Amino acid sequence: MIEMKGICKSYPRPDEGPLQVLKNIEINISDGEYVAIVGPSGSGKSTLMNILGLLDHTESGDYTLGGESVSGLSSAKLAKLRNQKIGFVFQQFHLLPRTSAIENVEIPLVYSDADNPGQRAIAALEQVGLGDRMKHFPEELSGGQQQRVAIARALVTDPELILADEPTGNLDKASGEDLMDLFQKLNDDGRTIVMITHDENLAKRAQRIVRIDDGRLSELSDVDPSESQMGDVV
Amino acid sequence: MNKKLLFAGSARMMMRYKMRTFFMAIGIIIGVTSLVFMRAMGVGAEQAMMDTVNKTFSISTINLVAGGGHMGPRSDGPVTSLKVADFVALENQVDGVVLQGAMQWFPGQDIRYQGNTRQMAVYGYTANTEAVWQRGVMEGEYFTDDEVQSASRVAVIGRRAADALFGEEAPIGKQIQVGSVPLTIKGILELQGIDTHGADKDDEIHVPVTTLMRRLMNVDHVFAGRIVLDDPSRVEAAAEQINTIMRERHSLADSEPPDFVVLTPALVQDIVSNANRVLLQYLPAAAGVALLVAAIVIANIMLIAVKERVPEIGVRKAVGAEDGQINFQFLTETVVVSLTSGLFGAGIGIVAAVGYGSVSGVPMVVTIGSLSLGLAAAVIVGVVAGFLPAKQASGLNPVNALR
Repeated sequence: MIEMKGICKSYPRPDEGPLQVLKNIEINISDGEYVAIVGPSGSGKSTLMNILGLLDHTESGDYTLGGESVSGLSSAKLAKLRNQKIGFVFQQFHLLPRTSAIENVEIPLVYSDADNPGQRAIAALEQVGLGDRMKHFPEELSGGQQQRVAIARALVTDPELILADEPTGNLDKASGEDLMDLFQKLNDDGRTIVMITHDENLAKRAQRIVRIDDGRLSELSDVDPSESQMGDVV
Repeated sequence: MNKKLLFAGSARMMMRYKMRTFFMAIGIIIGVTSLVFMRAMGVGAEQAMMDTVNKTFSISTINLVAGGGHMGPRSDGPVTSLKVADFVALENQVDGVVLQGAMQWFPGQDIRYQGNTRQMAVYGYTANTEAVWQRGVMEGEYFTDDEVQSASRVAVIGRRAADALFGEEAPIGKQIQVGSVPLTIKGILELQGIDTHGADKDDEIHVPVTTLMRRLMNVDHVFAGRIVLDDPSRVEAAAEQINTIMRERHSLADSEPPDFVVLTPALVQDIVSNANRVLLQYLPAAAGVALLVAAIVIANIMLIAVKERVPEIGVRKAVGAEDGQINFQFLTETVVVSLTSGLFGAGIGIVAAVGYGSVSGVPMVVTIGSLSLGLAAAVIVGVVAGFLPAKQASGLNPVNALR
C-alpha cells in the first residue's frame, strides 16, 4: 500500500536555518494493515500525515502509494488520488455546518465521477451506524456521532486507505472507545488504516505501532491482532 | 466532477445562509427590476411615438417646414418665405406627387361661443386633409375646395373643444367667433389624442388655410405642408428634387442655408428615436450603477465567506477537490445567487411595469430583449463579483486550511 524511502521535509525559519521536520523517513505499510503512529506534539507526525495524505510535498525521497509513485505528480492528479484512494478523518471532524449528515457525506462525490451519490452516502452512513440520523445537522449530533459522519465521509468513495489524525482527540472516553471499535471493524473488512495519536493506549489497538520522535521513525512493536482483541475484553 | 451535486450544494448554501443571500441579492434585484421597468417605459414610449408618427406620417409622404432646421419659435420672428404657391409648384415639378397640402397655424386663440371662451390652436388646412394628413371628420363635413378658394368663414372642431364650448348643444351649424371673425361649424374632427409634441389634437379647430392667412392672421405665408407620393420608394429622390426646386424658388445662393426643412419618414423616425434615447439608454444605464454597487457588495460578502469557510475549503481539497473545481464552485455559488436574484428582479420588473402601465395608462412594453439584458447583467455581476473570492478560495493551501 505505502512505501516511503528517504523522505525529508523542512520548513524555513526567519532567523535560523530551516527546521528539519522529517528526517529520512522509511516505512512500508502493507494492504490491510492497521498502523498507529505515535509521538509527542512537535515530533513531525502531522507533517508525516500530510505527506502520507498527499496534502503536502516532500523535498526528497520516494513515496509510492498503491504501487504508483506520487513524486512529481501535478496537484490536480494528487487531488484525484486523494479522492479515490484516501479517506481522511480529522480531530476536529471538519463537518460543514448547516449541512445535513448525508449532504456532508456526499461532499467527496462532488469531485468524483461515481454514480448514485445519494445511495453511496446512505450506505456509508449505515456502515457507521447512523442510518437513522441522515437528515440531522452536525449541530444536532453528539461529538461521537459527528466523528462517525466524518468517517462515513471518508468511506464514501470506497478508499483503500483511511488516514485518521487524532480521531478521538475531541471525544469523551466512551465515545472514543466506540470509535476505536469502528476502526477495528473497518480494518477487519480489509481497509488499511493509519492513525496518528499521542495516546499510547489507543495505539495499542493497532496491529503495529510506529513511533516518531524529532522527525525520525522507529518501529515500536508488532502487536498481535488477537492479543489486541483480548486486551479489549479484559 | 458531479455538476448536479455541485449545483445542489450551491443552491443549499443560498437557502441556508438566508441573511447573507439577502444582502447579496438585494442590489441585483433592485438593479434588474429598474432595468426591466425603465426599458419597458422606454420601449413603450418609443412604440407609442412611432405609432403616432406612422399614423400621421405615412411612409410615402414628405413634410416641408418653414425655417432652417429650427422648428420652434425664432427670435427673429417666423420665417415667412414658404408660400402656398411653393406646394403647387412642387406638385407640378416633383416626380410622383399625387397630393399636396399646405398648412398654417395660429396657436392660443380665444374661441368664443355665446358666453363660453376657450383658448386653443387654429389650424389652416386645405380641403384634402383626410387624404394628406390622415384626419377626417367623425360628424358633419370637412370644408371643400371651393370654401378654401373663397376663404370661407367655416370651421371644423375637435371633439374635446366642441364639448367644452357647446356642452350639450349640437355644434354643427352653430357660429363661433375668433377675434371678430364669425365661423360656422361644419363638422367634428376624428379623435386623435395627444400628438408627439404633447398637444391635444382633439382640442383644436381647423379652418381653410386661406381663411386663416387672410382673415385671421393677415399673412401670406404658410408654416408647413405635405407632399404625398405615389410610391414610398420615391421618397429619397423626391426629397432631393424638393431641395433643388425650393432653393431655386427662394433664390438661395449655394452658400446660404436653406430656409426650409425637408422631413422624410426615415428622418422623422430618427428624430423620434433620438428624443427617446434618454428613456432607452441613459435611464437603464442608471440601473447599471445599482448593479455595479451590487457587484462590490457581493464580492465583499463572498470574500468574508471565504475566510469563514477556510476549514471547509481544506476538507474539500483533502477529499479530492482540484483548485479549478474549488474556483468553479465558488463562482457557481455567486452566479447561482446573482442569476436567481436576476430572475426575481425580472419578475418584479414585469409585474411593476404591467401594473404601472395599467394603473397610469403610460404605455409599458416588456420585451424579451430587456429581460435577457437584465439576466445577462445579473450573470455578469455574479462572475465579476465572484472572480476574486473564488481565486482566493482555490489558492488556499489545504495543510494550512485544515490546521
